[in-house]
Amino acid sequence: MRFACICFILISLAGCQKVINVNLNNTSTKYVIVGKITDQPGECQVYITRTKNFSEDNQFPGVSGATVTVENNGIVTSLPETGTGVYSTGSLTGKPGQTYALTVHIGNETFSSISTMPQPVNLDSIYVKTGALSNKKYVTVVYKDPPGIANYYHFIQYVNDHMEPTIFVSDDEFTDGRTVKSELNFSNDTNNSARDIKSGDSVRIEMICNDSAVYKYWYTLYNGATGASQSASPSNPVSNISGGVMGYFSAQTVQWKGIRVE
Amino acid sequence: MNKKTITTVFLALAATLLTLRAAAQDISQVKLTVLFKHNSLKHALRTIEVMSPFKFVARAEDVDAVQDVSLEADSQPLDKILQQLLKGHNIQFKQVGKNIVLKKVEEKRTVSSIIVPASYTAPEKYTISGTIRAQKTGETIIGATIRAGSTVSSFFTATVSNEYGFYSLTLPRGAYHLEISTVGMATVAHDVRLDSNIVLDVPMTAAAADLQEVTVRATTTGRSLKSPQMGVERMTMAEIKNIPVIFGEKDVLKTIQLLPGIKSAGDGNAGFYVRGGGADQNLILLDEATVYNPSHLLGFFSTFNSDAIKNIVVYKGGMPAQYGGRLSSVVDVKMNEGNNQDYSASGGIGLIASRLNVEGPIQKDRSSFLISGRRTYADLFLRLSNDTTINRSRLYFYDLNAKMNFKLSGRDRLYLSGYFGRDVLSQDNLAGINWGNTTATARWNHVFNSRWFSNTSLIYSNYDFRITNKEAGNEFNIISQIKDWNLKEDVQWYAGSMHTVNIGFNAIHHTIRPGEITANKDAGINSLTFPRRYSLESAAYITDTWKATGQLSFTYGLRFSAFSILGKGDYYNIDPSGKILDTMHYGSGDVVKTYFNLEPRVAAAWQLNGSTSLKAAYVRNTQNLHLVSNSTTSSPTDRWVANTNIIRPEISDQVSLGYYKDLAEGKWELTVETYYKTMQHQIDYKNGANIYTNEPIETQLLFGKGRAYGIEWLLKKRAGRFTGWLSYTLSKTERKIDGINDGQWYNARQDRTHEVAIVGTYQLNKKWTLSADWVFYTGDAVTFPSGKYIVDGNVYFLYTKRNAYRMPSYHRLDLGATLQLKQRKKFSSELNFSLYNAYGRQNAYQITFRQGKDDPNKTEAVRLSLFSFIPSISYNFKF
Repeated sequence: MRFACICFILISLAGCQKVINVNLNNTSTKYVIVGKITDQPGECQVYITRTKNFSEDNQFPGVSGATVTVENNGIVTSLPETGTGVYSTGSLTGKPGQTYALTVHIGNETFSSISTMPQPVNLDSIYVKTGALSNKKYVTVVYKDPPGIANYYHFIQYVNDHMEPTIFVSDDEFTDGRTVKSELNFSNDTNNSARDIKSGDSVRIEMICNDSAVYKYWYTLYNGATGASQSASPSNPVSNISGGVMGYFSAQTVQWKGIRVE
Repeated sequence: MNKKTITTVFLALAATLLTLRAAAQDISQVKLTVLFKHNSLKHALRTIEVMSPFKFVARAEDVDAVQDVSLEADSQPLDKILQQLLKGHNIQFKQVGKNIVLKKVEEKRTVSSIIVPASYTAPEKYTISGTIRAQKTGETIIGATIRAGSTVSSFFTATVSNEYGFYSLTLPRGAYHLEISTVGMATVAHDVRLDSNIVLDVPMTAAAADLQEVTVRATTTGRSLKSPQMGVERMTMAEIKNIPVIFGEKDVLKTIQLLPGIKSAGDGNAGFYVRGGGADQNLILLDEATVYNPSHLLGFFSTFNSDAIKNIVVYKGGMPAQYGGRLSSVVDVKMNEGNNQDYSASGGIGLIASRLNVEGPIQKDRSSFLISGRRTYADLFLRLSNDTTINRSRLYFYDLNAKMNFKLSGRDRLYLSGYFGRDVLSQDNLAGINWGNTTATARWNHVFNSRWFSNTSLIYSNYDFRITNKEAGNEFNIISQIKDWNLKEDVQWYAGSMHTVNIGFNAIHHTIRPGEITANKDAGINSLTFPRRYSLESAAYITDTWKATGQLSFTYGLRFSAFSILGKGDYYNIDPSGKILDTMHYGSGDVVKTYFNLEPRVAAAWQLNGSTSLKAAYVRNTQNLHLVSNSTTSSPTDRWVANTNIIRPEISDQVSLGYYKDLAEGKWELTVETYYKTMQHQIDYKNGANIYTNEPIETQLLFGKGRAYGIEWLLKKRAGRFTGWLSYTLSKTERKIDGINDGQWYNARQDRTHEVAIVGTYQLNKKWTLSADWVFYTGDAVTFPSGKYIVDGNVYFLYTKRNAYRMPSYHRLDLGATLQLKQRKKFSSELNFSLYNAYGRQNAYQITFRQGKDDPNKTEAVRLSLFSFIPSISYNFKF
């Protein structure tokens, strides 16, 4: 949102930031399941971790010993544990239009989800230019949205192979059938200047097409749970996995484009 | 703190105060020993002021004319002393509360000859009515007290002038002494012989600031002890003039937030919360027109330019039946009418804005005009920045108020008033947003006869915002608007000495355009029109104020409101998960649904003695337009949504109880009010709702109820060099909404347990006035994370309960000083200095959470605060 961006500039002009101590309660841990099956060979993976208290460190060890299966058209594929908390198989490649069902058993708890892989939309081109609202450089992605059907997009940006943490998602509610040029702008308020795009950097964009439930997950995660939102009521994202876990399961198409910044 | 404890505290307090002695002393009861030998009268009066609790009010020339008085008195009553002192100088005196008003008598008139025995055998009644005005400007005076006392018995009664300065008193035949008083004006006295209906228009002049050092501020009109109206706060611009504010811009909406029960929504936010309600539950009226977004510049300023404003009245409870449409409060702002005697101009130059106000007669005594403008130049500072992002930004707002009034005949008066304001925020001419309100009001006052007063208003009000994007190849505009046409009729019937009746109706046609996108052919966005919504909001009411006895009075009334949703448009049935079950199409002229509500309004006042009263009130309010916002700050793009088949009218019921006491002969006022309020059909967003969707808005909403209760204390010093107040509010406000917090009660965001404000103004000398205010409140109830987790390599936060945490407590001290510059006959000017947040408290505007900046293996909380030490200076002039 442009408007939000200008407001932010104003506030940061006058404002003053300080790291403070806030006394936050501890809470019981929950499982976090992140599962993906893509149209690329060998990319069906499920990661299982746990939530932690705010004051603890940011190491999230995997949860071992779960039983993980993916079902499609009556065929059940088991995902063996290939690392601590990582369950994956190279034998399952997703197909657009197909629906996949994930089932995870941990102890005596069961979690399940279904996701349908949409038809891929082509990422036509990407380019880098100085942002309209800033003197920093941003990537613009260009794609032609297919008319008449609902599409959901998720872009992941890598600068010199470092993933940008900002969530870039959009749907086509207002852009159906259009050639969309979307600037992936973000505000970097960290000390990590490696996130900013500079001449000579190599930039890679991963374009993901997912279904509406997964889009909703990312949209609500972005609006509610990044810790930085202006929302009056931050909240947990709407997960498409039943059983009371954090995380999501997505059958999605993936493609990439890279560019070297001039 | 539960309700029971609050009640107990209240009762304990009431019991303590009831035992205090509070009778105002009479001048015949005060005995003094004095010796004057060829002294000036001024010296003699000052001496008496020092020795007695009384202050004198007089014209300087009357007092200065008497240079030689002599008197020796040993323990004589003050009235006797004054009689002797003033003998032969044709100066009369009269005690008014703790003031003694001196008045030069014209040679020919002798008041004593008017005394005629009243006839008690023939109980004929006659009416005295008229309009109260300021003599110098011709402005009508709202809320002046007209007190009529029989000259032969102890009978007296009183009324106040209405919002057009009109008053009417019906009394038995007889001789009366009338006293007309209001803040800042010298009390006017008239003796009348009432044996037929009389029209008496009263001009008033500014209070004599004559006995220089012993400046007397009018003390006669505090809040009324007798009137059943409670939960009301009135302020004139004179009262708020010296209170320090941010950037030195006088602001009525900011100043009322220093009163108990009215809570600021925080730094950089013009919104406010009244008795636990939301920011959208305040009905904000400018000359009767609804102002949908009363804020400028992202909330730092209000839309009310102080130069154009006459007064402001805030109802926190017990709203009169002529007001309706919002749950929490009514903020009724009235513009000046314009000077019908002489041309004058005033204005000011401040750090971020300048103002100019011009007014004068169109035809002397019959008609006048007023034009008032204000513009900020904050963007000039932005241009100084090295950062191109900032220095290419544009950011300003302006306001324009205009008003004309015409006296069509002795019985008819026409007022035309308008407001236009706009905020502009843009970036290098590439993208921008501008928003603002427009209002226009035409009002016709008609006096049928001395007992019937009518006002008819036709009102237009509009709020819109426009977003433009001019980036090559991606050009589009978005427009959103809410527009009202409103017809109002209000009749006041002064039905006798015991009853005043208000009868009226109004009908508002609302058009809401939620959003219309116009995009060019190549833009990455489609042209789209969100369906427009039409509705008709109408109401009829009747209310009577009944002075049952000298001590007891009641107001009881009923407001009947109806809200019709009109076609054309599509309406939906939706299941609890937000899925659309079916769609109903309505054509133009179809009525989709009508909601009817009966809103009783009842209040009673019981005056225990001359300085104490108790009041109680019950009021029901409904609200048919709802602002759905999910942001911590108010945004110009927040959406107004009308009732639909699914969104029902919000309803609130409030009972309140109040205790009022004048202390120290009326120098101090104590007000204590408690309230309990319930709210039905409250609206909130679902977790993860999408505000900017073309889906029916109901799919994003949840419904529930609310409750709020509290006790408010206000101790005010009205008179003397030092004036000000201390306010304290103890309160609780909660919501219970299915789908949030497992359906349990939770604190509303604006729930603040304690809130304190101390405001003081001190007149140091003729040149300097000093002022200060200090506020403290419990931090808002907010949602903080209780844990964290990792998804695709990034850390996100885990939330448990809504609003279960608190922001840090907020406190702030502001200082102000006004220097009156040299006054010439026609020209006066002053310099105003202010220091906002004098001790630089870093109040939290927002607390966010993130992966550690220095140590990514940790997470940290970051506080953002907006202002510390904002000094400002402004220059104001008047000629």
